[in-house]
Amino acid sequence: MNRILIIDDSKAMRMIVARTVRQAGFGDCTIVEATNGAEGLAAVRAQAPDLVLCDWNMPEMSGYDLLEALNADGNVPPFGFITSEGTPDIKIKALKAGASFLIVKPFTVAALQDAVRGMKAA
Amino acid sequence: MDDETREIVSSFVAESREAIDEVEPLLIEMSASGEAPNADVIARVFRLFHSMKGSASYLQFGSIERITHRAETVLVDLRTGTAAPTPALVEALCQVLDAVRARLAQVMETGIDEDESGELERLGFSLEEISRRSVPSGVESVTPVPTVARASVATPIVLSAVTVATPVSESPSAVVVLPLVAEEAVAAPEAHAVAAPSEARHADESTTDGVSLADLVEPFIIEGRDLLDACEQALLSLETDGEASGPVATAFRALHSFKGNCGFLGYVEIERLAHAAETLLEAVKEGEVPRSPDVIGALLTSVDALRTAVSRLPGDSSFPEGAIRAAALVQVESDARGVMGQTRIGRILIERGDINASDLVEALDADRAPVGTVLAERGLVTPARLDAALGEQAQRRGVTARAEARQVEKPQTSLRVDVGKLDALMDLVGELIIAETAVIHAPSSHGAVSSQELPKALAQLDRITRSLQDVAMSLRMVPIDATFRKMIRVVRDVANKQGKQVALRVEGEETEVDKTVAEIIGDPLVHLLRNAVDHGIEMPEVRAARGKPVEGTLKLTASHVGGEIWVRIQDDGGGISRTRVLEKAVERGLVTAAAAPSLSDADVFAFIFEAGFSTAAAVTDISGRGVGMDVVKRQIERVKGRIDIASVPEQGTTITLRIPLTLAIIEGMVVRVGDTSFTIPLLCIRESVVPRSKDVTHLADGEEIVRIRGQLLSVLRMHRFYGIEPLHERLEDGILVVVEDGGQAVCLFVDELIGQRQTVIKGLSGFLGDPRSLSGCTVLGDGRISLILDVAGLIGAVPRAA
Repeated sequence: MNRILIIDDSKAMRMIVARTVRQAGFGDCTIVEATNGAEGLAAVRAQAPDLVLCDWNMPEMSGYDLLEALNADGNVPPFGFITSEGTPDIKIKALKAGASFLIVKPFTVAALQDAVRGMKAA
Repeated sequence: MDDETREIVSSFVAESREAIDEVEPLLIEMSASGEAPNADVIARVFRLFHSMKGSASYLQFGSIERITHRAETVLVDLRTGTAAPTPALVEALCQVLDAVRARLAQVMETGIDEDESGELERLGFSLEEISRRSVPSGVESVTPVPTVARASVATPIVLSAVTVATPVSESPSAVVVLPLVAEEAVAAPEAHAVAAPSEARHADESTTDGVSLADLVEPFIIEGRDLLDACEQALLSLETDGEASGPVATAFRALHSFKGNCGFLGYVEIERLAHAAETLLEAVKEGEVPRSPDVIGALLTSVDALRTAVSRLPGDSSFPEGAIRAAALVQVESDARGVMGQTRIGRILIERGDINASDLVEALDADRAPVGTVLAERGLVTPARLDAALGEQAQRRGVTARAEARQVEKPQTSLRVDVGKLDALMDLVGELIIAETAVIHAPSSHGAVSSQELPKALAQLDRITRSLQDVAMSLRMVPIDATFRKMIRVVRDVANKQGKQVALRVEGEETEVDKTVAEIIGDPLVHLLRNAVDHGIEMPEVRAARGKPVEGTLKLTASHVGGEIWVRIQDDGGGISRTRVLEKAVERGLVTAAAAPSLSDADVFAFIFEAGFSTAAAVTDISGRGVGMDVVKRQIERVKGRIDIASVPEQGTTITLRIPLTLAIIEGMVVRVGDTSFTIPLLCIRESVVPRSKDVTHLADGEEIVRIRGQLLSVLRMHRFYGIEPLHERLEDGILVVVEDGGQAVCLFVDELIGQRQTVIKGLSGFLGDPRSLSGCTVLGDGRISLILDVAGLIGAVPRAA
């Protein structure tokens, strides 16, 4: 994995996610950040990240809308949600739309490692 | 805390503050408009709480996490229509925002989030209550939410966090909703730990997958005893070795696990006591409470009480007598820390040695009457001592309030800058380096300084330097809207309090001002707006009688006028009474009764800025807020600003704050008088003329009047005013610079104009005293000093022209 795109409207949360990514053993990756779905979409198109870690609820364009847009592009990179919305219907919605995983905040090193492992196994 | 965490915290605080400032006015507007809840606003407020919650939980800011979670839930209810944005609910949300703001400041400072006073918990609780009541009862009855029922549903999720190792299925749907509910039980309103008898419950209820909670009670009892034993051991070793930190941590861990188990099984009363003891223990751990025998005693008592309670399980989960007392003791001890605790009357009495802790506990047990009263009634404390303690309490509260006020004043030290501006800056620096190279190489490549290249290169360098200055200055400029947005709340609060109807209209909020200016004018604006609502806008009845709309209008506008920012506060209220201001001014000896009638309105109104000139007594009958207008004036003067007042009785008052765009640099005209150079701010100069002798009139008292474009203006001979040997004595030989300020103009007589310069203002040294009408000095290109004239001061020094 070379490039990880973190999409979250909160800078603090992006820093938290970036740190957790590092702690989970992906310290060598280039981390790219975007602050909403629209920016995220542009970043995916321009940077072709190997993994997208995306918030659900954001201004401009939500994480789900972003994933839909990527589906429309026909170019969905490995995509995971990191969100506080852990209800089953949201989870189902996310996975149906092609997300590889949905981690409910608080976002921990173990949760990320598990998710990535699960993603690779699949 | 490591650097990275600190950085995360600081981003968290900064973005949270910003978002709060942004959503607060939206919320207020939404409730004021009385329209159907605006989905967009609700979504934004929701997102604020939502983002904060996520980061807070990572950063382990527990109380922020809990309050934002509750607020978020309320916002969801608003979105689904289960709650309505009533004024009461919006008020509660605003209070939550305020409390969160205060908490952010604390977190920024200390890096830890401690809800010492329990304020956030209380606010969160009342927020939920208000939210529940915000919809008509018909709807409410559809969604009954008895706390106990919800808490019982909550049980499965808490399990994962505690040490009871019994399989219970995790019902996924419970995952999101539930942690809140368990906490809610802890934060029940009577958090004062004086527990009401048994509402403990349903250990025999079944969880969803058929595992009976009763099956879990047995392991809980066994483990609970172990945990309490461990806690007691640790506490006892603490008594013998007061310094060790290990035992405290051990005791804390044990108690914490015990509490978690209680919460899981729904033993609310036991959990509450465990929680209180844990809080006290935490304070001991943090060194906020001394490891005194009293404190350790209270902790041991509570461990005993907990053990008794556990021994009565599973049959009887009610709370034993002694435990109630223990809980109160623990509470009293933990009150020792924190602001709230320090201002509690019971605590003060103990500290003063008037009573002892157990007297207080009994008084607290008694009932809900004020503790002081109970103590006095029982003769445990004499009325005189109680009064003294109450006095101290008031004093401590005052100190606290002042400390809070100071905290608010602390300016933000970082600044958000538009990336475009930074890019422009970088571009210019690049160009600067190129231009500099051109200048350096210009003479050498052509062998002579007088080559054609040098002037060109210098001109280029000059152009870039100026652009650089402009960009550098623009970096400090921020839109004034952040300052203005805070005012919406101020106006609303004051108007509500006084039962007045006021609509605030804000214009020009995109106007950019220096960051310092934006910060400094905040307080004066608050005072002026409060005054406008308090003294200006009349009560609805009065307005109706005067034939005005019942709702008063307050306009707050900002605009660029010349090199100044004008911030204008305009109300359509009762206006300022010239007569009464004059009466007061004469009474205070600010003006003689004889001179009074000849004063202009502007001069009269200026009196209200005099120190100690009570606006309340002078202008309206409503009591003042204790904020003198002189403070407002001083603060505006700090940013070199000026205040103009215009007022028409029964029609309203307009107050204009005129503040220079920047505080550091002025465009000035350099003039010469004899061998001295002065700089006149360009903004004040209307024109410069060489007078014809027929236009000059000499008055009998020696004053000279010049007619310029039909207007008669006084002449101020600069050489006489400053005692300089001039080049020219005759007006026709020198030049007259017409300067104006505040609607008045005079002619300054100088020898010659040198030219226009952008100058950096330097202050004058204090040992010069208070030089006549000089605001500072600047260094000219040739290294000489030029004195900057204070035009307003000069005009004031001239007898009024016709």
